[in-house]
Amino acid sequence: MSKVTEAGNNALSVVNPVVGTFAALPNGFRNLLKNKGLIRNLVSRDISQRYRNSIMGYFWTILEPLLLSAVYFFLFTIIAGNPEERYPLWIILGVITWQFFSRGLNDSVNCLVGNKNMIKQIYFPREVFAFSKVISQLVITIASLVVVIPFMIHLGIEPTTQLFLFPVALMLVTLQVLGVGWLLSVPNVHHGDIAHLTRFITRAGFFVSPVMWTVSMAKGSREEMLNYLFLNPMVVPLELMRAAFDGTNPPIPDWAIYWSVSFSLLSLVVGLTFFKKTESKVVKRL
Amino acid sequence: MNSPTIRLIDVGLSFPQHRVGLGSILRWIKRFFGIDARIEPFIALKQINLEIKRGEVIGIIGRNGSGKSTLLRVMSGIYQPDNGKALSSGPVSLLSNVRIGFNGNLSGRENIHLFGSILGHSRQMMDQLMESIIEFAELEDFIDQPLRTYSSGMQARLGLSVASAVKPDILLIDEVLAVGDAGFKERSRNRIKEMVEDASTVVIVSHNLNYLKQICDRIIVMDNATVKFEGSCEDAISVYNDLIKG
Repeated sequence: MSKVTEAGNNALSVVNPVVGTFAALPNGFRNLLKNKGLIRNLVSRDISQRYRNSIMGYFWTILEPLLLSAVYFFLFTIIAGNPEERYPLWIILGVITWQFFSRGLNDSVNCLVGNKNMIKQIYFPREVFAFSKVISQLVITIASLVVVIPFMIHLGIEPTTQLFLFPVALMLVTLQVLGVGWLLSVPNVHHGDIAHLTRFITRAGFFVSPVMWTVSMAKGSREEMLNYLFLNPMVVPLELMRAAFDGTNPPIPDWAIYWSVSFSLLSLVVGLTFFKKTESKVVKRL
Repeated sequence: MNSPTIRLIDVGLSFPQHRVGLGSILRWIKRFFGIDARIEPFIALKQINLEIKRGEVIGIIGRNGSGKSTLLRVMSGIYQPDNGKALSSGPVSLLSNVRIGFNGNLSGRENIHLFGSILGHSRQMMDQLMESIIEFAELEDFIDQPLRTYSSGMQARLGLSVASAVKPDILLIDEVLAVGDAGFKERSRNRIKEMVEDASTVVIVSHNLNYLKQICDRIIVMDNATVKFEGSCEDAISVYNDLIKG
């Protein structure tokens, strides 16, 4: 009996097979590559959804961080008095980068719950969802960076070779958001608390990350506190963004850069592996 | 003898039941003190063994909640079975909700591309099929309008038209035939017949017994997560009728 079955099975393969722990990562990347077209369509759907029915449409990508920065600038001037000349540039870069992190993370954490109907009706690799959400945010972020140009002209800042730091910084954020997003999207199906927690983290993180302020502004305060600050993996990308555009040296120690890079890579590896190992079971809970 | 295209070996699937909110914390506490707080899982499929051969058209009937749709989802890979194996000879397409991924703000044409890519078709392929899809759905006048302006029947027509444009080798259908008006229903039935004749394997879940009798070679009757009966259409339908009468 078993022999007959085995012989007959030769032409057949397992539908949606269980992936091994070490195969999970290459498998996930292969799936993303195979579904390029789908990812592109999901991204364009996301972006056009965001600006539907709005008169200014795409212009909001630029306007929103600009208005937010204006509010923070106003606030800061009231609290701290005369800021430095380049402060408006720093704050707008901070806002844009932070928005990428915060929206990318919230969207990717909710991607399984939000695409419930699609997931239950058709099979395709589900890592595509978080990935396309993060890519949508990345596209919006890059588009909104245009707003930096008038600031640089006004402040008389010439772009230097250090501009190459900005793709690096965005890459670090992308990897972090993807990894943590994949990691948390699965438990978020079981416990809606995860989504609330993520929202809290992205709100509170705004204050403990150099968005409204910069590391050099904090330099005067207690040194040992500053070391704890660098444990926040978003500090390095935020400071790199600023260094990229204003050409100054980022005031961060080497170890903080190593930490941020390894955190980003590690979160990607752990996040995708965990996601691939658990997603097929979690579909039953949707 | 034709080679098998789908084979299920001892497939079992159960849905764990969970408490929500505070109940789940209570369960953790109970478990910590060694109190058995397990909730019996809901068994959706029990020891299913099936073999479907190339060229066969199989109908699945059964009462609501008997596991028909779950069975299709296992065959298509949406659910991984808890035990046993689901095997297939190639990619399996499941046609169930014909409006998956549709977005009201995109035009009909953009939605065709989106749905096509969800189904795993390349952009070039969808470009080639575009005109025939629009023609089949009879939406020539509306295709560049946003989808939200479509009636629900029109949306469903568009969905079925996309989903059936590419003739898959193994096709699973879950109650999607009942969309659109009488004329469209007739044409979608013909289209399904065409797909069947192209030597593909077809598995259909439906409550329309007459339709199944016309096109199926065999019918499977599901009851209580198991295969109750498997055989000729007449016999299966009489088994099913007995089941309903209780």
